[in-house]
Amino acid sequence: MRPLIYLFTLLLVLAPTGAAAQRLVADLSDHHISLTSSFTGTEIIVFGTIEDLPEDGTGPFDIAVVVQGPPETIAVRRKERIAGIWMNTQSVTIEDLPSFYYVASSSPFYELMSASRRNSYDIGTDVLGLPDGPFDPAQSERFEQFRAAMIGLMTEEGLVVENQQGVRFRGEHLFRARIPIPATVQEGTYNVTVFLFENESVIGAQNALLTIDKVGIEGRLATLAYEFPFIYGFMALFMALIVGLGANFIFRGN
Amino acid sequence: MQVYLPIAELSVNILLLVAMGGGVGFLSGMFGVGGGFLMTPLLIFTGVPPSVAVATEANQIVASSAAGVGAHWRRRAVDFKMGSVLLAGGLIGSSAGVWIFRYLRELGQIDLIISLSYVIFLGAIGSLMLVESLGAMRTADRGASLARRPGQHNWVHGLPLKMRFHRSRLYISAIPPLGIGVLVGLLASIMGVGGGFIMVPAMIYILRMPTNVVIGTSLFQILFVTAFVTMLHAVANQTVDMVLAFFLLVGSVVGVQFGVRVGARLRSEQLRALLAILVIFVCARLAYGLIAEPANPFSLGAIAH
Repeated sequence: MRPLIYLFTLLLVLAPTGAAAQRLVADLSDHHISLTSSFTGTEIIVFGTIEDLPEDGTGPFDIAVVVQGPPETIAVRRKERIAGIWMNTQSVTIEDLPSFYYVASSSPFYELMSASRRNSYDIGTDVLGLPDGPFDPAQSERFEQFRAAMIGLMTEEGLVVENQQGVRFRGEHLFRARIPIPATVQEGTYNVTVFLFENESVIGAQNALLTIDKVGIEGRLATLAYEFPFIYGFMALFMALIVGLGANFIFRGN
Repeated sequence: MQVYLPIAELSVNILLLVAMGGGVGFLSGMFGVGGGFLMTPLLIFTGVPPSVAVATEANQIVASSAAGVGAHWRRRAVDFKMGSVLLAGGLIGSSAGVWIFRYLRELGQIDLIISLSYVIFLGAIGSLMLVESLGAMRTADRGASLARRPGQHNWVHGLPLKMRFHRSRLYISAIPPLGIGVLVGLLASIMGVGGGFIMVPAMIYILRMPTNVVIGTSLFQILFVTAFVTMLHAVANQTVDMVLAFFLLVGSVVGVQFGVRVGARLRSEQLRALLAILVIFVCARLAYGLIAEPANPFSLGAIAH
């Protein structure tokens, strides 16, 4: 049923409405992902169309897609050798970092926009994890070093993806982008934003939500462990006692 | 057949977990040891985060000590009064231990401290056992037997707060068993071991308890201390992986049975020498992990889930 409803809404929006209020229409191939025990990653397609472009517009027009997972606070730690042993010595805390970050565009955005402008739209891994507000070009060297290491580590896990050619146009109006969702994603609500640019300016934007849930017994146990740790602890003890006493009973004869 | 471990956040083959449980269970049945000090490093080698390995091992030891204590209970080989004093110490030690654990985790040092504690304890115990068992083998070859010195009064008898322990036929201060309990509680919460390898020798050589009640009493203490540690870790750190514990247990309850049978056929000095070599090997592997240069000096840790 659901896809039908989305299709219907899409058609409704696409229908000529007279006023060119909506220049950008976009949607996801799927709004819900279930993390089962056999989940090894998947792919979500963002697709849409642009229309009613201003006739006096100079162009070129570009699309950027940004996906951000539920925010978390991360400690980036660095090991150093002390007395022959490698141990964590320094750390930098990065707050409000999306646990998953994907950015793609139809043409290289690093050339299109300044870093401070991109930071206000969260576009580009070079502004990922930077504090909001006015962009400070004099970021401390140490922060930048740890932030870059964090992006490297998250990229290795597929949790940070940047693709400056990731949005493909079909004809002049239709576009699509593939968002690879790795096996290690967290559950939660993911924010998908599609921007329409004319040169440096955003002339249209649309938001969609993607929900990722843990399902199955493992998923429920994880939720229980974090939200009701007392109950989870008692269940763990109960399980251990049943197995222990059960084994004692079965092998008593020997 | 993969299973997703919800707390370790790792997808692992079920058969691998059952085999690991079975292998360590076999060894613990053969050598008559708890196995926690072998399983925790093994889990770390598999890729389970050390903090999850420790808390999950505590959960697993609840089951194995529950299985063991029942048999000793029926044989009336548990000194409940001594066990309770040891347990009181254990609760104090493990509360402190879990608090230290949480603090170190926030500092990002818990993995290092776990590995370092293992290297120190395994290294010391492994070498002592190897020297002792090789010595015993030589003595046995010569056909001589070392007569145990008769029970002498040691420093333990000079301490205040004396209590009578009927089943152990002892009248001693409560301070040494309490202290032993505290140490074992600390080990249980920080290393994920039952602590029998410390407690049993301490009960025999420091407290001078009769050997027939030593195992039952230590299992009694371990059961309640590890249950307490499991609960504390579940609440304070959310590091108990029930799914992991379950599959390890399935393997280990069977492995123990086979281990006991094989162990009964081998000479105890040879067994101890074998175990000592195994312990030293695990110690060396952990030590290598601390010394070897990491592929990437940077790592990420989530703060507040």
